[in-house]
Amino acid sequence: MQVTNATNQNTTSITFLGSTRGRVRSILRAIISNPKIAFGVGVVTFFVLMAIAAPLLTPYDPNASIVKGSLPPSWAHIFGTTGLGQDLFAQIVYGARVTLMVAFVAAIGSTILQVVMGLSSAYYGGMVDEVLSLIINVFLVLPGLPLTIVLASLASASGANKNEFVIALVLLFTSWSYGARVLRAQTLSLKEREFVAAARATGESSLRIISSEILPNEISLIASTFVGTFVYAVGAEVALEFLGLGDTSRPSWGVILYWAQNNAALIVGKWWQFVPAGICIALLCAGLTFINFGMDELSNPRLRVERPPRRRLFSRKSKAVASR
Amino acid sequence: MTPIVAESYTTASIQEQDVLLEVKNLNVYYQTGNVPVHAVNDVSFKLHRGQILGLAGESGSGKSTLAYAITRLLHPPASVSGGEIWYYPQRDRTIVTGKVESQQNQLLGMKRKREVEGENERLSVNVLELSPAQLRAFRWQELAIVFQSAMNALNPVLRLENQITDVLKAHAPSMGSDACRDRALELLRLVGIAPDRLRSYPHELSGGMRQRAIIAIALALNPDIIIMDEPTTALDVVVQRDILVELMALREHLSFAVIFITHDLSLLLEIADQVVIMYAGRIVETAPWQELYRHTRHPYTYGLLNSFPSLHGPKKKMSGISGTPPDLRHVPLGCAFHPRCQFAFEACRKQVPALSLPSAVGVHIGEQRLEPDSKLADDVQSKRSQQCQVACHLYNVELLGTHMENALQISEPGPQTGHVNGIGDVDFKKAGERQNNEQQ
Amino acid sequence: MRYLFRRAGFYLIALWAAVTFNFIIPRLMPGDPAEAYIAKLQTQQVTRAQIDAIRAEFGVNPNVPIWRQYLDYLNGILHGNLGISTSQFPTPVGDILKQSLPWTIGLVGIALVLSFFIGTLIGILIAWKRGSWYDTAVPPLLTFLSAIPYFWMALGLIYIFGVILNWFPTDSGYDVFNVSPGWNMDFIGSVAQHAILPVITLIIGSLAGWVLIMRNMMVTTLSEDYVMMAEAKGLSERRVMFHYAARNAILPSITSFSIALGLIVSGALLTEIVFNYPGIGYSLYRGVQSDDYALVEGCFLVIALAVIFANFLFELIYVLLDPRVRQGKK
Repeated sequence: MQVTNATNQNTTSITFLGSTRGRVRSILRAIISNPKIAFGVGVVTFFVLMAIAAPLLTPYDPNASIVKGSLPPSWAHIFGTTGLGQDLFAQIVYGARVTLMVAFVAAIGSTILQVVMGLSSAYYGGMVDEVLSLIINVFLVLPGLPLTIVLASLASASGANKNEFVIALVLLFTSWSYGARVLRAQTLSLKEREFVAAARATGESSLRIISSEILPNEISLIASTFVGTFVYAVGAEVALEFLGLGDTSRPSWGVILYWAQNNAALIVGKWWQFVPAGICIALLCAGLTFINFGMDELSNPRLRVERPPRRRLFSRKSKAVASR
Repeated sequence: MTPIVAESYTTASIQEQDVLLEVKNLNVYYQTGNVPVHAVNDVSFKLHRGQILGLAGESGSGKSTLAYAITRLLHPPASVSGGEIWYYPQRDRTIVTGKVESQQNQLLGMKRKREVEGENERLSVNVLELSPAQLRAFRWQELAIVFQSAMNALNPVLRLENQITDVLKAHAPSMGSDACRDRALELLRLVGIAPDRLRSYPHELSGGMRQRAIIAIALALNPDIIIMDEPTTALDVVVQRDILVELMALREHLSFAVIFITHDLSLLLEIADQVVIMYAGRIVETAPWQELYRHTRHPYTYGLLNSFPSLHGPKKKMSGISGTPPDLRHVPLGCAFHPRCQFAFEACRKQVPALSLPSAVGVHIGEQRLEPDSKLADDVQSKRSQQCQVACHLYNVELLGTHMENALQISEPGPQTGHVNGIGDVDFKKAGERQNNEQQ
Repeated sequence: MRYLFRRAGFYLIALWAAVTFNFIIPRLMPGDPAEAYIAKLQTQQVTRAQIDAIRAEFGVNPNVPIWRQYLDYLNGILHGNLGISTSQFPTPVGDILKQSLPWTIGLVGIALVLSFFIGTLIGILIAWKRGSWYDTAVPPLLTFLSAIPYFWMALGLIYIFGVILNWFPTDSGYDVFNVSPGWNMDFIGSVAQHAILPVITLIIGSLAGWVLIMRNMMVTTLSEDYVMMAEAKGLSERRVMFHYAARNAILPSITSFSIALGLIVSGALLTEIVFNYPGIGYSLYRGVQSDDYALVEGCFLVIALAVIFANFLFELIYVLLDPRVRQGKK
C-alpha cells in the first residue's frame, strides 16, 4: 500500500545544535534545499490550509442536498455532486478536516506509544527489554489491516458509536509496532555512546538521561516515523471508511468513496464521485512520503541523487577517462 | 635496521628500456560542493620493471587517490582532469595459460603507440584512454591492487575459491574448472594458506589469512605491477612483518613491480627501492632510499624521518612537524608546506617550487656538511641522476641568493638530529660558475 | 540451527497471541454484541439453535467459566472448528475459509513474487546507473503510484480496462455464468483472465517499495571495498553487479519481505473487495457487512496464521542466503 520509510537501516540522526532560532533556520534551510522535502511540505501545507479555510472556499454545506441526483462537474459544482445531490467540492474540502484530524490524532498517539515502548525497552534492557521486544515483535507480525478491520467492526457493533475517535484508536493500536522497533534499535546504539555513560557516571536520573541526552538525538528519527505513521493512518482510515466502518454520515474522503462505491458510480460512468477524492488521498500520501525520503537523504548523503561532474571544467581528455 | 630485503636491486640496471609505467602530469579533482579539491596535482613519476616504489605521505596527501587514478577506479565526484599514464607491456611474457603475451595483446586489441627508441620498438598503452573492454583486459592481468582492509575487500557471500577462480575465468576463459582450481590451490600455497581453506567464507578466516588471501588473488594472473594500498596497516606488527617478508620473497620469485603506499616511512626505507613523498597532492621529493635517508633534501621529509625514534642510538629530542596538513580546498599559496616549514623564506610564500633535480649546492639537511668540491659533494652529484628530485626552493640558487638573509631561521638550536648546513659555508660564486659550466 | 529454533519459538508465541486475540477481543468489547446482534435478527426467523450458536460464539454463556471457554476454544481451533457462520447458516466457518483461501493465496503469491522480482531488478538497474535520468525520474514516479490507495487504483483500472476498453473481466474469480470449476482448460483460462487486473493492481501498488529498498541498499553496497575490488579485477559488469553488489544488497530485502507481505495482504484484501474476487478478504468483508462475527474472526485467524507462516519461511530463506547467519554470527 503506502511506502513508508524506505531504508531499513537505522538512519543516523541529524542533530541541530545551537539556539532555537538557529535550529529553526537550519530546518527551513533543509526544507528549501531538498526538492523532495520542499514538495512534500508544500503539498501537506496546502491540504492543511484547505481544510482550515473550508468555509471560505465553498458556500455549500457538505451535508446539504442541493440538487437532485448526481451531476457531473460544472461551474456551479466544480467537482460535481453525489448521488444525494451534495456538492462534492464542499465534501472534499470539509472532509479534509476529518481525514487529517483522525490521521493526525492516530499518528500522534501512536508515536507517543512508539517512543515510550521503544526507548524504555532499549534503555532498561534485561527482562524489560525481553518482554517489551516480544510484545513489539508479536504486534509486528500480526497483519495490520485485517486486525484493524476486525477491531473496528467489533467496536462499532457493540453499541459504541461509529465515530472517528474509535477509528483513531484502532489505528493507533495497530500501527505502533514498526516505529517502536526502529526506535529501539536506534536507542540501543545510542546507549553505548560515551555521553550517555558520562551522564550516568555523574549520577543523572534515568528519566533525565532519556529526556535530555537520548531523545534529542533521535528527533529526526521520531519525526520520520511520525510521518510514516501518518501516511499509514491516512491510508488505513480511508480503507476503513471505504468499507463502511467509519461514520458514514459525516463526509470525509473515505466516506465519499464509500458512497460512490455504494452507488456503483464507476459502473454507471459517474467518475467524478471517485476521482477527486482519490487524487487528493494520493497527493497527500505522496507528499508525506516525499518528506520522509528527503529526510532520509539528508541523514544519509550517499542516497542523494548525484549529477555527473560538469564537463566544462575539464579538458577534452577527460572524456576517455571518467567512466568506470 | 635489519633490512627485510638485501639491496638486491641495483641501480645499475635502470635504463629507459626498463620503464614499466610512466605517469605524466596527472591531475585529479574532486568535485564536492563549490570548491573543487585538487587531490593530485601535476604528478609525474616512473616505475621500472621489478622495482619497489614507495609512496609515502600523510592522510589527505593524495597517495591513495593517485593509486586509484592509475587503476581507473575513481568514481564521481573524483575524476582525472589531465595527464597521461603510459604502460609499457613486456613482450612474450608467458601468463597463466601459457599463451604468449604478444598474442594476448592482439586478442585484446590494445591501442599501441610504437615508439622507436634506437632500434628497439616499444609497445606502449595509454591507460587513461583504454575502452571499457580493453580496460577490463588490462586490469588484474597487467596491474593488480591489494586493498587496505582485507575484510572489506572480500565478498562476504562468496567462498574464497570463487573469488579466485572468477578472475581466472574472466581473463582466461579457456581454462577449465579443474585448471582454475589447481591454480587457486597453487596460489594459496604461495602465500601460505592451508589448502583446506579454499572453500571457506571470508568471515571464517583470521585477519592475517584474509590479507594473504587478498595477495593470493592479486597474484592470480601474474601481473607486472601490484599496487599495495597500506596492506599491513590494519594488522598487528608481528603479522605485519610476516606478511612483508613473504611479499618480498614472492617478489623475488615472480619479479613484479610494486607501488607500495603507506604513511609509515620507516617501513618504506626498509623495503622500497625508490621512495616518493607526497604532500598536499604534489610530489615533494623522490629518491632512492639510501639517498633519502642519508641526504634528506625536503624539509617535510626531514620532519617525517625525525618523527619516529630509532631503536638504537642515544635518546634524542624529537622534532616532529608542527601544524596540520592543509585543507585541500584552501591550499596555501606558493609552497604548500611553507606554513609548517622551519626554513621557509619569502619566495616560498609566493612561488610553487617545481620538482627538479637538486643542485649540488644548496641547503643540505642532514648530518653531513656539504661543501662544494668536497668528496661528499661529488658523491651527491653522482647520485644526481633521474632518481633524485625535490620540490623546494632551497635548491633554487637564484631565489636563495636574493633571499639569503631571511632563510634558515632554526627555531630550536640545541640537541637535534642534525643541523642545517649554513648557507654561508657555501661559495655561491663558485657554485654559480659550476652550474654555468654544466649548462654549456 | 539454534538460531532457527529460537525463531521458531518466537513464531509459535506469535501464533498463540493471534489465537488468543481472537478469543479475547469480542469478549472485551463494551456492550453486549451478542444481544445487539440477536436483536437485529429478530426481523428474520431465528431458531433456538441459532441463538445458542450465537451466544456460544460470543461466549456469553455465564455458566461456563472463562478459562474453560478458552480451552474449548483452543480445542476447537486445533480441530479446525471455527464456529458456524451466521450469515450463511449453517455452513461452518471452516468450510467457507477452505474455499476462499486458495484464491487469496494464488493472488497474493503471484503478486508478491512478481513485484519482488520486477521491483528488485528495477532497483538494481537504476542504482547501477546512478546519476542518469532513470535514477532521478523513476523513484518519485513509483512513489506516487504506490501512494494511491489500492482500492482506488483497482477501481480506476476497472473503469479504464473493464468498462471503457472492455479488455479484461472485472468481477469474480472466474466466469460464474459460463464455466464450472474443475481442472479443465476453460476454467483455468477463465481464472487466469479474471486474475489479470487484480494482480496488476497489487503489483503496481507494491512495486515502489521493492525498487526503493533495493536501490538504497545497492547504493550503500556499491561503495563497499569488495565491489571496487571486483571492478579492479576486470570482471564483467554483469558479474560485479549481480554477484558482488546485488547479492549482498538483497539481504536486507529479505527481512523486509515480512513487512511487504503484510502490506500486500492488506492490499489484496481491498483489491478482492473491489473486484468481488472470492478470496479471504472478500469473505471478511461480507462478514463485516452482515455482522457475521464468527466469519470475521475466522478470516482474521487464517490470515494471521498464513502471514506468520510466511514470515517463518522467509527467515529460512534468509539463513540459506547469508552464510554469516548460519554460524550464528551477525
